[in-house]
Amino acid sequence: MTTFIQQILLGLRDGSLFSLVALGIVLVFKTTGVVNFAYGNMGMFSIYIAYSLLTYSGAPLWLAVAVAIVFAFFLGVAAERGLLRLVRHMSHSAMLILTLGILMILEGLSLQIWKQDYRSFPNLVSGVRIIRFLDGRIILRNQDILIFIVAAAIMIGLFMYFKFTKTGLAIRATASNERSAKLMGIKVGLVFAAAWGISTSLSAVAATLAAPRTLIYPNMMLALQIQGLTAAVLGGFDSLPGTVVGGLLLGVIQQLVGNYISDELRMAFALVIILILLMVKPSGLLGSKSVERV
Amino acid sequence: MLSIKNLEVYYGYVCALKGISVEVEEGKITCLLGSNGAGKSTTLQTISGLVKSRSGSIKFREKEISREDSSRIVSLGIVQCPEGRQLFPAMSVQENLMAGAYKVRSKSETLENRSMVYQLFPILAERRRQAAGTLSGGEQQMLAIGRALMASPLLLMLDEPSLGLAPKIVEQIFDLLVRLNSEKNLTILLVEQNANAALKISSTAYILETGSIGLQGPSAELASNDLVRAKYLGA
Repeated sequence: MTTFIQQILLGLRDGSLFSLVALGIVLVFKTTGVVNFAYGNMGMFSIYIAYSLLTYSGAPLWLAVAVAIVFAFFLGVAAERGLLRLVRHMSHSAMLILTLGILMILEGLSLQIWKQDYRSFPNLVSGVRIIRFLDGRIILRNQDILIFIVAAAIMIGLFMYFKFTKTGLAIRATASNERSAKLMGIKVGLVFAAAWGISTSLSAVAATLAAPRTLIYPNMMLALQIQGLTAAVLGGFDSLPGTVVGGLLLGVIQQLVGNYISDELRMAFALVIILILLMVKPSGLLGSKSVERV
Repeated sequence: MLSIKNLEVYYGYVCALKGISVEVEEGKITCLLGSNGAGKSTTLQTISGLVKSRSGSIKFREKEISREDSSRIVSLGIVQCPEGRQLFPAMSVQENLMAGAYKVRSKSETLENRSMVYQLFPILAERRRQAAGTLSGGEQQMLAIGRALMASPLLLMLDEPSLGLAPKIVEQIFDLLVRLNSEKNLTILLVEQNANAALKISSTAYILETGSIGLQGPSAELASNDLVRAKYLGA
């Protein structure tokens, strides 16, 4: 019983990370209508910045991470203003191709600067926690607990932001109907830039939390990006709560499959389960019937 | 209040407006009639800054606005209630209204506007937590108008508010426009295909025909004009 609960908790830890990644993807998709393929790599590049600060300038960990997240924000804004906006009037596929370009540029740049080597990144907190429960013990690393808490706090913060602030409302309005938002006087250009900035910061946060386990290397975010996309699809790709639920579910399914069926098959098996789920309910768990943007 | 002179708009090579001139007088209801594709919506889009004109001028209170962006135009007090309502369907009624007040800086003015809208449309107050997409057509139109009123407009532009609504609801909406005009002294530019109703409540009317003004004059005069009656009033 305790092993099972332990597995569920570990699944939720992974899942909260998937949700975080998925939220960033969905946020940009909902506002600007494009799936950002460079999303994971933008976080990867930011975490390299944190790594460099940490290693070469001896900055404290919190400062390095903070700089990386702020850097990510501006990286996102720069990508939107400097590149995506230029092709926005063409088509969504033009924007999609552009994000593939950013993906490759960032990968090439990081290879040039930091080489292929795997670099280690410290846990934000160390130590383990042992919880006595029923007839056994549940062992969690403090970093695991932190991942869950940080992801949850950010998600709750984001929901409050979208629900209760004027700019949050403006972002939702723009995502819902861009032309209408313009008629309300909302500057949709600012909204696009903000969405990209927030989204890219989320990628950096996810990279920070994941880096101690994945290590830092140019493709470190590949799995997370796929899992994030899967979580987004599972959640219906247009509802933020759906995305969170999708991420958590994916995390738990993967963990249980990995533990009870086969560790090698965890991702493949999880994807099969999702395929079946989507055949039963094509609009995703909490998604609305139609996703407007293509 | 709003003065449009020789406005020309092109979509690529297609000329949508061939140099139209329209005057909207302060405190009056002016209507813009015409059939599908005549350029009515284009005119409003251009005033709102969503479409840029090739030449001509749009002056609002003596100030040239044809090169301003849509956000600035809302700040100046020109607010459009778009065709087909264009609500934010997944957002609640109240959130739709609050989004309308995006350009209103003061919190108290926003809340004042909101209670004014709820007073005008008690049904919206009742449904404030409901998703906008679940409202009936008439209620959605009320919400669209309410949302536009949230921006504290000096000039309210409505694009076919009667579209797809039952005659009884249309009557309600038009009564409301008359009230807004007379009680709150709101200047209105109304774009309509429903020429009958629009001529009744407006003081001046313009008739657009494929990108140029065909006829113009006091609404009462146009309503009794034989040509207009044959073409637009079905009489």
